[in-house]
Amino acid sequence: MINFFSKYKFISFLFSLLIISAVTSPIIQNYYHNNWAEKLNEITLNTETQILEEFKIKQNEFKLRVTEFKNKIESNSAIDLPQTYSYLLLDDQDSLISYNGFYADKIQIPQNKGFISFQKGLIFTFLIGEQKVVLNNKNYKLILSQLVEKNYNIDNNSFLPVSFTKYISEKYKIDISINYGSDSLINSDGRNHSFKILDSQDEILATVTFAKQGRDIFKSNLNDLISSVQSVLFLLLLLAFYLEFIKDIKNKFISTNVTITVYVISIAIFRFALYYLKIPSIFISGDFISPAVYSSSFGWGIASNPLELFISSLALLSILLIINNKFTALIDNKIRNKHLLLISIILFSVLFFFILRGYAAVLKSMIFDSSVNYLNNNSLILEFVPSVILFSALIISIAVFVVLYNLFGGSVRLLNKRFNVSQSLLHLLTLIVFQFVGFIFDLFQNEPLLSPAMRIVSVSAIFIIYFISNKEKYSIAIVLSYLAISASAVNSILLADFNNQKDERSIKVVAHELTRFDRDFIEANVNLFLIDEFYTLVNSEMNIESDPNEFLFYIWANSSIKENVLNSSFYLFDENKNEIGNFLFNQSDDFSFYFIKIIHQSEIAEPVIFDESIFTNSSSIIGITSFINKGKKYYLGLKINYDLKSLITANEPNVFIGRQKYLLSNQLLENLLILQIKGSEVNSLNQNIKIDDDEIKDINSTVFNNYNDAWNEIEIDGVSYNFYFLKNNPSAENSIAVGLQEKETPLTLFQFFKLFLVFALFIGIYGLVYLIFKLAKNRKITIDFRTKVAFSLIVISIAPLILLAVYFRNLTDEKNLSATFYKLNKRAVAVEEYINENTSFNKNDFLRVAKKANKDLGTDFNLYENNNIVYSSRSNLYKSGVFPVWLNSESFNRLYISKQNDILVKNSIENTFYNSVYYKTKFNNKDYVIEVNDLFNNILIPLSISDFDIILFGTYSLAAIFVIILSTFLANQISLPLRRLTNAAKSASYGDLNLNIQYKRKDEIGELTDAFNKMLNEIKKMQTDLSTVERESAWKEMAKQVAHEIKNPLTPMKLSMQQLVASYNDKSPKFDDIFFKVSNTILGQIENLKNIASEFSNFARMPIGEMSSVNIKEIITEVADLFTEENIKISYTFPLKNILVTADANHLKRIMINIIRNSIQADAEKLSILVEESNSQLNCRITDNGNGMPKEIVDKVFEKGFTTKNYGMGLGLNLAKRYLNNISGDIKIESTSNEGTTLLITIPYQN
Amino acid sequence: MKKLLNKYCVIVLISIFINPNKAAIDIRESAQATFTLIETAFSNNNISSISGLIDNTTFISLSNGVAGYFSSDQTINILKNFLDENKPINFNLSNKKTETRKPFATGVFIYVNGGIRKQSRVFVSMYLSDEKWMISQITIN
Repeated sequence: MINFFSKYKFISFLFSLLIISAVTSPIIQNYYHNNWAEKLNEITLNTETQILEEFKIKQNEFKLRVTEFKNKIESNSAIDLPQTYSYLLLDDQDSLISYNGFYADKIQIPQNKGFISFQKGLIFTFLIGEQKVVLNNKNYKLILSQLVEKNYNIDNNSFLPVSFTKYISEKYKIDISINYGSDSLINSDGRNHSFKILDSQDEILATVTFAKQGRDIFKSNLNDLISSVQSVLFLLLLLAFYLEFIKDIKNKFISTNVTITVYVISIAIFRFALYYLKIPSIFISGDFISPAVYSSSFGWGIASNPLELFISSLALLSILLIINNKFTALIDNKIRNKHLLLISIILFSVLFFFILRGYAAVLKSMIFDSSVNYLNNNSLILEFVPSVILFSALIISIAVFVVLYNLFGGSVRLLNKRFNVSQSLLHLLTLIVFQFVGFIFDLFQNEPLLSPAMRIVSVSAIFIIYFISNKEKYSIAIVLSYLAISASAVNSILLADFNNQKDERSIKVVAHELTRFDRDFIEANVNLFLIDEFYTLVNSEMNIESDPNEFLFYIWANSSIKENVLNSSFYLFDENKNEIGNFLFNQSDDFSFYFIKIIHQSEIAEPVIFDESIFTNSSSIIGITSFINKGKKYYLGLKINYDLKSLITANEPNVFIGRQKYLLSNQLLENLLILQIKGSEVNSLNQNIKIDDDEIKDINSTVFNNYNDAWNEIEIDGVSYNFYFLKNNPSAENSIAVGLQEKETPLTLFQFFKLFLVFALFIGIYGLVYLIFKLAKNRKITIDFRTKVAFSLIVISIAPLILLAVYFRNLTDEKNLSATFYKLNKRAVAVEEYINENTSFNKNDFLRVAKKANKDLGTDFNLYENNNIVYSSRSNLYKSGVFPVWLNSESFNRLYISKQNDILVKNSIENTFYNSVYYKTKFNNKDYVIEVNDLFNNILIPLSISDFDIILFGTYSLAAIFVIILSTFLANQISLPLRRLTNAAKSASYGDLNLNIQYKRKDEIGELTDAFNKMLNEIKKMQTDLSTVERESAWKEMAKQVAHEIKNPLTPMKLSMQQLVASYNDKSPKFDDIFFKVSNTILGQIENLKNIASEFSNFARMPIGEMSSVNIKEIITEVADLFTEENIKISYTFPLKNILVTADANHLKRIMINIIRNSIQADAEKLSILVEESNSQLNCRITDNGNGMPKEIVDKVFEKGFTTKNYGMGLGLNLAKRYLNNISGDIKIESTSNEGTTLLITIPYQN
Repeated sequence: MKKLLNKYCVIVLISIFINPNKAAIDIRESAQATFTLIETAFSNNNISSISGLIDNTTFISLSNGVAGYFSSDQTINILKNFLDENKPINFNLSNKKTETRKPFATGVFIYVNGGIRKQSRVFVSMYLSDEKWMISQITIN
C-alpha cells in the first residue's frame, strides 16, 4: 500500500482530495443549515453592497460622460454620442438652444436639486444629469440622459435591449426589481429585501427590491459548486490513471493492435466522461452551450450544444486518424489471399459509402438542428459560435476524407495485388467499382442524404486526389492540404444544399402557420387577452392619463398579440367614452367609431367580444373591456384581423416585427409568392402579380396527397417557383400555396463561396500556426521556389480583381445613394405639390390634406414645423414614443443653420439603418420640413448593395479559384525540372550516380539538365577509372608490404632449417637440442606469419563509419524524398514509436538508395517499405513490383563483383551486406518472382 | 312493437357508428388527451416522454429569452434545459380549445427559479400530422 502511494503520488493526491471533498461536503452543508439566519443576513448584506456598488459605478461612469460632453461643448469639439445617450443645451431661461441624440425629445428638465436623477417612463427610463456649461462667457445648462431601461422587447435581430435591472439580475443571479424615481417606496418583508439608492445629497434615486436567498437553494448552489469541484478532480484522476496505464503498456511492449484499441477506447471514455461530468460546460454560459443555437440527439448527447459538438469532432478526428494509420499497414501487409482481396475491396467500398452518409448526416444536422442563419444573410462576418460549428464541420470532414482516401487507395493497392495492369487502368477500375457500389448503396436507402450528383462528385474528388498524388508522388502534407480543400468544397456544397432544403421546409411551415391563425384562434386570443393577460400588464402605479398612446404601445409590446404578429388595433377611451389614445399595428382603418358605439350601448362590466362582420364586411374579431386606474374608469378596445391577406401584408417596418424573422430571412421573404386559391380564382396575397389562365391550369392540376398537401413546381410570371399547397380537408375547394423562387446562380455561388471562404480561412490559419511553430522550432522557414512562383502569380492576378471589386462597390454605393435621394426627393416634392394644391391652410384642413396626400400618393411621410413633428402618416409609432418627435439634430442644423433645402441623412432605429430625405418647404409662408424615408416607403433600386455583394463575391471568388488553380499549375510546371535537378544532385551527393534526367525542351533548363547529366557521366567514368587505378596501386602496395612482412619471418626460418640440416649431416650429438630449438623458432615464425595474415585481413575489413543513434524513419523518408520526381511510387509504414538503431547514417542512406535504384532498374513502379519491430530487432521489408530475378542468382547477388547489369560493378549489395554484418545486422532476399522482389534488412535496435 | 323497438335500436346504433361527427369527436378527444400528456410531461420534468409529439419545426418562446422555430432535437434539449433551470411545480392547461383544426390551450406554469416560486402564462398549440397531434407552438412567458 505504501509502495502504491509512493509510486503514484499524483494519483494518491487527487484521490485524497476527492475523498476530503466527499467527507467535508455534508459537514459544510450542516454548518450552514444550523447557522442559516446568520448566513442569510450575510448574503443579503453582501448582495445589497454589490448592488450599491453597481449603482455607484453606473453613476460615476455617467458623471464622467457628463463632464466629457461639457468639455467638448465648451471647446466646440465634435461629440461622438453613443446610441443610448442624448442631451439638451438650455440657456439660463431654460429655453432650448440645441439638442442631440435619439431620445433627446424625451428628456425632462430635472426638478430635484441633485446632480443625477432617474426619469421613469412606461417604456423608457433614463438616467439624467445636469451640468453648467460656459460658452462665450454665458452660462448654459447641459442636461444629459442615458437610457437605462427599455421596458419592451421585439424578438428580432434589430432590437437592442437595454436593461440595468436585467444586467444586475443576471450578474448576481437574483430576482430583482428597481423602482426608479424619488417617489419609490420601500417594500421589505420576510421573502424580499428592499433598500434605497441615494444620491450625494441624500435624495432618493431608486428603491431596489430583491428576493432573499432560500436555504434550500443556497444548499443546492453549494452542492452544485462541490459537484463541479469533484467533477474536475475525478476527470484529473481519470487522466492520471490513463497516463500511468499508457506508460505501463509502453513498458510491456504490447502489440500495436492492442495499443491502438487502448488509445481509441481511452479517447471514447474520456469524451463521454467530459460529457457526463459536464466539463467544461459548467464553467461557460451563453450561446456556446445553448441548444437553441445547435443541438443534435446524436451520440446520446455528445453533440447537444455547439461546445459538445466541437469536443466530439476533435475526439472523432483523433480516433479516425489512429485507426486509419493501422488500416494502411493492414492493407499493405496482411491482406494477401486473392479471395480476401476481392471481399475486402467490396467491404471497403460499402464502408466508404456508410462513412459518406454519416458525414452527410452530420452536416445536415448542422443546418437543420441549428438556428445559425449564416447562409441566409448577406454579411460575410461570422460570429464566434457559428464559426465553431463550421470549424467542427471542417474537422469532421477532413477526418472523413482522410479515411475515404485510404479506403479508396487501399482498394487500388489491393486490386494491384490481384491484377497486373497499368496504374491508370487500376485507378479507373477502382473508380468504376466505387461508383457502382455507390449506386447500389443508394438503392437500399429510402432517402439518400446525398444526391446522385453529389455522390459521384465526392467519389470522383477522392479518386482525382489519389490518382494525382500517386502519379506526382505528393508528400503527405500536400495530400492532406488537397484533402482539406476538397473537404471544404464538398462541405460548402452540402451545407448550401441542406440550407436550400431547410428553406423549402420553411415554406411548408409558413403555409401551416398562415392557416393556423383562423377565426377560432383569433377569437380565443382576444378573449384570453381581455380576460386575463391585459390585467397582468396593467398596474396601479402606471400613470395612464399622462400618455395613453405610450401605454397602449407598452400593452401591445408585452402581449402575446405582438408575439404572434397579429394585425391589431388598440383603442383607449376615458370614463366619458371619448377616445384618448390608440396604437395600430399593421392596421390602417380607424375603428374608434364602432367602439364608441358599443360602449355607449352597454356599460362593459366584463369583456365583450364581437365579430366585426356585424359592422363591416371585414374579417376581424373585436373585443372591449373596462378597467380602473388611479380611481378613473377606462375602456380598452381591441381589434384583430383574421383574413389571410392581412396576415401576410406587413406595412410596419421590420424592426417591429418579430416572430417570422426566425423562420424566413428577408432574402427568402422577397422570393416568396403566396397564393390564395378558390377554385379557378387564384390571387397573389403578397405580390402584385396577375395569374394568367395557363398558370391557373397548372396550379389546379396539382394532386394533393392524403394529408391534404402537395408540392409542385410551377412557372408564374416567367419565374419558376417550388410551391407547397395546403388545404383544410380533402373536399375543400379552397387552398393556399406558398412558393419559393428558385435560386439564381449568383446567389448559389455566393452561398458556396461564403462557406468555402470560411473553411479556407480556417485552413489558412492552421497553416500559419504550423509555420510559426516550425519557425520557433527550426528558427527558419524554407519557402520553396514553386511556392514563391505560385504566390507571386496569385498576388499579381488577384490584386487587380480586389481593386476592381472595391472600386465597383463604392461606385454602386454612390449610385444607390443618388438613386435613393432622387426617388425620396421626388416623393417629397409630390407631397409638397399635393398639399399646396389641396389645402386652405387652416390647421384642421391642413392635417386632413396631409392624410389624404398619404392615401392618394401612396407615400408615407412626416411633416415638421421647426423641429417638431406636426403630422406623420405613421403617427402610431411617433405617438407611442418609440420614434422621436423632434427633427434629428443633424438635419435641423443642415436645414436651418447651413440653410440647405433638401438633404439625405442616414438614420437608425435600434439596429436598423434607413435613409431619409428632408425637404424644406413653405406652406402659407411658414417653414415646414417634409421627411420621406425608405423605412416606411419601399424604394426600388436597380441593384442594391447587398445584391451587388452577392454577385461580386460569388463571381470574383470563382475567378479567384481559377487564378489559384492556374497559378499553382504554372508554378508546378516551371519548377518541376529544377526540383528534379535538386533531387538528382542530392542523390549524387550520396553516391548515386546512375542518373539521367529527362528534359526534352531546348531552353536554359534543357542546357542545364544536359550539362548535369554530362557531369554525372564524367564523374562516373572518372570514378571507375580512379577506382581501377586505386585498386591496382593498392594491390601493388599491399603485395609489396605482404612480401616485406613475409620475408622477415622467412629468414630466421631458413637459417634455422639450414642449421638443422647441417647438424643432421654432421651427425651432431646436439641434434636433438637443435631440433627442438629450430622447431620452436619455425613455429614462432609461423605464428608471426599468421598474425601478419590476420592484420591484413583486419585491414581489408569494411570500415564501420561514424556510429551514432539513428532514427530509421528519418533515414527512409529522407531517401524516399530523393525519388519524388522519378517514376517510382514509394510508400512506407512505420510502427507508432520511433525506432533508433546504432549505425552510420550515411551508410544506411547509401544502402537504401542502392536498393531503390536497383528496383528502378528492374522496372519497378512501386516500392513499399514496411518497418516492424520484433524481439529487439528491426525488420525492414522492401518490396517492389519490378521484374524480379532468376532463382539461380539469388544466392550470388551479395557476392562481390556479381552484377547482371552492363554498367554495374557488382559492389552495391555486397557492400550493403558487409556493412550490415559489421553492425550485427543482415540483408537477404526474402522472395522474388516476376511480380517483384522483397528484401529483408535486419538491424538490432535500442530500447 | 318489440320488432319496431329493435328496429329503432338498430337504426340508433347504426347512426352512432356512421355518425359523421364521431370522427370529429374522436379527434377532439385525442387532442384533449394529448394536451394532458403535455401537462404531465412538463409537470414531471419529463420532456422525453413527449418527444414523439415534437415535430421538426416547432415554435418556442420561453421566459428565459429563447424564441424561434427549432428542430425536434433542439426543442427537446431547450425544454430540458429550461425545466432544469425552472423546477416545475405545476403545469396546468386550463383553457383548451379542441373544436378546431389547430387546437390550442392556455394555462399557467408554476415553477421554482433560483429558490423563488414563479408563475408564467403558457400557450400550446397543435396540428394534425399523419393522424397524430403534433406540437406547433409552446410559449411560456
